Amino acid sequence: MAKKVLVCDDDENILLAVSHIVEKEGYEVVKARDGNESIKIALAEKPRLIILDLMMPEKTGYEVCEELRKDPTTKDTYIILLTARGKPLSEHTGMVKGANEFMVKPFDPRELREKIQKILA
Amino acid sequence: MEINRHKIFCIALLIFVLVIGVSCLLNAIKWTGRPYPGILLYKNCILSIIQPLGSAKFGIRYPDIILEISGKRIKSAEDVYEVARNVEIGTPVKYKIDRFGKTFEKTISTQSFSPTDVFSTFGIAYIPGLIAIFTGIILYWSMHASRAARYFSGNLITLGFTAILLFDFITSYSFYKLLIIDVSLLPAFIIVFSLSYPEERRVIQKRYLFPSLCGLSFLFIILYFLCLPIPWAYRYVDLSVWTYVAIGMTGVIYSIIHTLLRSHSQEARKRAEVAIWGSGISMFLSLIIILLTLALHIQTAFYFFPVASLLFFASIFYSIIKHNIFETDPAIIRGITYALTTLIITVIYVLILSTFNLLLGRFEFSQSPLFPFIFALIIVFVFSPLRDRVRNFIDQTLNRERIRFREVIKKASEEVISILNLDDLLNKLVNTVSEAIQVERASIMIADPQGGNFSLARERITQSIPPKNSTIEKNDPLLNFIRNNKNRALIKKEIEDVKKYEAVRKTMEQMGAELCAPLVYQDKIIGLFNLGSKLSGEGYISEDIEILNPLSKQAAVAMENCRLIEEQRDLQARVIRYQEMDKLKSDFLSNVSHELRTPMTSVKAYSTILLDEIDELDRDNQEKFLNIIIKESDRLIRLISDLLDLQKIEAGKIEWKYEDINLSDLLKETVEVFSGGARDKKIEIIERVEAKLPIISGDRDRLFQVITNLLSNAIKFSPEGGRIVVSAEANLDEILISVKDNGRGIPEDMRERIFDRFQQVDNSAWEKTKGTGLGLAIAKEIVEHHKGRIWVESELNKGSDFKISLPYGKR
Repeated sequence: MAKKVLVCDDDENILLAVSHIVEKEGYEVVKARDGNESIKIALAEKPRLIILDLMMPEKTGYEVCEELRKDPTTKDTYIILLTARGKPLSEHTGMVKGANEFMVKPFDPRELREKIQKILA
Repeated sequence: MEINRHKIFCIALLIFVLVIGVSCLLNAIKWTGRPYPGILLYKNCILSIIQPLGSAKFGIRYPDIILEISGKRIKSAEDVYEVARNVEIGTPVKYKIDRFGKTFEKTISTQSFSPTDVFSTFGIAYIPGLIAIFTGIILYWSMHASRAARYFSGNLITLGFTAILLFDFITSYSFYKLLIIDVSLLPAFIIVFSLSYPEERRVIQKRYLFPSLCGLSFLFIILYFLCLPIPWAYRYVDLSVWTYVAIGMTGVIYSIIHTLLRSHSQEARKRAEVAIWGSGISMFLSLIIILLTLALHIQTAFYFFPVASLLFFASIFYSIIKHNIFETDPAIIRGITYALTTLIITVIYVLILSTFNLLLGRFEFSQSPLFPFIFALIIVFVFSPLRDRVRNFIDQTLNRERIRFREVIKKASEEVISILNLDDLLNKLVNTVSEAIQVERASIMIADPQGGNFSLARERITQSIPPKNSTIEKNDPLLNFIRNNKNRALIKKEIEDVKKYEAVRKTMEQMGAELCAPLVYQDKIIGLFNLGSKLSGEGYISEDIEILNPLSKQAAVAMENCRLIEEQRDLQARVIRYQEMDKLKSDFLSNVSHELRTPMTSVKAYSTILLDEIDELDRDNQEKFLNIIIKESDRLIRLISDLLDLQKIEAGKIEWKYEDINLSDLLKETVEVFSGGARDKKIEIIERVEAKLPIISGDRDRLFQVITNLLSNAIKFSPEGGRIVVSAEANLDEILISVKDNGRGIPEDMRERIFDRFQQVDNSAWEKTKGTGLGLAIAKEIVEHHKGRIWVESELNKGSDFKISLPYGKR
């Protein structure tokens, strides 16, 4: 079974770009475009990695993170938070909510690629 | 105590009074029981018989003149007395009388003035006279600055002297020349008094008035003494002088009636009322007495005649105390006390003298010798307790209200300090004092903390009196006066006659204030408490100031507290607003950051992917990705451009190009531009623009930007097959433009916020649009720069109507 990666972002272009990078590495991508959808799909598909945008409609990335950490099936899933708003407060809050990593937009696709390789290897 | 000419005058007068007064008394006592012609003479003109009823019996009356007595030609009363006193009591004496040219003879026995007569005259004439003189002197001493006080004390002194000298006249006839002078001066004072009582007439301010009246008096005095040797002449002089006096007295009555009927001053009318009552009762009594004596021949009734006339004077007196022309209470009370004290001392002296005479056998009194002795003893024993009783009685009647007043004010000052709301404080002050004193008007003025000028903060008026002037400058003469006077409250009466304080009095009049109490905090006047006339007609006295003092102090402190609390609240409000603004700024920055980074993310991501997978990507994806890069770059450009636009508008750095714009053309143009795009979405644009809209002055490009923004939003938010109506019409002073769609509408809480930056109707049910979020914010700035307004009216699921109002005719 291919390892699944959940990509959540409300911007279509970014969603597409990230998905492309993940798929290039050979993993299956599931997409979500808002907070609630993210939680639903995460619980359903149980991905290995979640790349989560912070600013989404319905629920923010923080809230999604918090909720997923409460559920035993997803509490250990690797979560990378992506945001266009600045560090460092966001990073700290993110870590507090239980994310594993934090990345700032615009991100370097090569950096993302490396991370994915490392995490899912 | 500075010794000035006024005080010297008072002391001289006092000495004079003591000398005359004591002499009169001693003389009277000396001549008691001694033979007397039985006729009351004035020069050698008969005034009356001592026992008035006897005049009918004797057949002589005023103004008969005695030519001869016992054959001796006489010129003056002394001649008569010389003869009469040297015979036994009861010896008949022959008189030759002239009655307007007719001569006849009369025989009258000598009478003797009994002690009863002396003492009854003493009680009725001498004592009030002495009291009046002392009161007058004390009044002059303490209030010589006030014109009314000066005239009134002059009145009291001359009247007092008249009474004392009448006593002498009746008893020993030693000072009749003084009486002439006094009686001549009397009318001058009476007339001036009638012009200042019950209220001051303007004529009294004329400087020539009093001196000319006195001049007339002196004229009469000179005439009198000139006519001394001419019997028939002085009769007429005499008549004239008494006519002069009568005119004066009539003047007083007239003045009282006039005030009662015509005066505007509550106070004056009250005084007139009391005086009228007094005159009425006294006239009524006099009539009864005359009736009793003449018709019913009840002799003793006549002795009450002076009482009736005293009543008249007493009522005037009382009205002056109670309805203060000026502060007479202390003067009058002291006057009475001192007069009585002097009397006692004199009496005791006389007693000692009489006792000696008694012991040494020189028995002078023909009747009950113990009478004067017992009388004097009674006075001595009764005086102190009597004086205290009188004092208490006066205190109770006049001061009972004052005691209650004091308590009410004291309670109020304790309560006032805990009021923290300025409105409540002002109400409490004004209401408490109004109810405690019953005033016409009570108002409070507060100093503006910045300007320093005082403006009316609260006023309470009873009755239909007009409200008064509401501001005074911080350097107003009234305020300067109060400051120079150690911030003591000011009663208008205190400066009424003083010329140099005319401006101060004027300010008080403008405010309708009889009393001005400053509210002082840390030596600065922060407010003024103004009280108008008391409804009772009474005037204000220094005790009132004393009672109001604690209240003013506490009120000032309370006012400061209220001000500080309000300041604090203001500060807190400002802090909150700053915090909110700060938050908005942070949010804005955060938003900008996000909006810039998002498209950049796509550009960077896709460019990197394209490079890294340059050999692996298929043609479709290559095109797709490159297009995204271009689109997102465009988005970034638009965003940056909008941001810069907004910043420039706000900073005022935009160069607005003003020209005359025909809005109809502009709107039609814009509709044209979008018609293509609209048709693609199957949206209908309907244009309802008035053909002849007024020309307005503005920046065409920018206004175009605004309409474009609205239209593109309308198209964005309209469903397929929707309808947009663009209309414009001219109202009285504005042009109203409307862009109406039938899209999803805007929820109520967003209707104002959408004009803020980066606010988009943000909800998963709505399509996320690719706008910059700044369009409406920019539109708002542009519209407001043209002095217009932009707003939206919307109903959920029915549509939104964006409206712009642009004024024309002015910029």
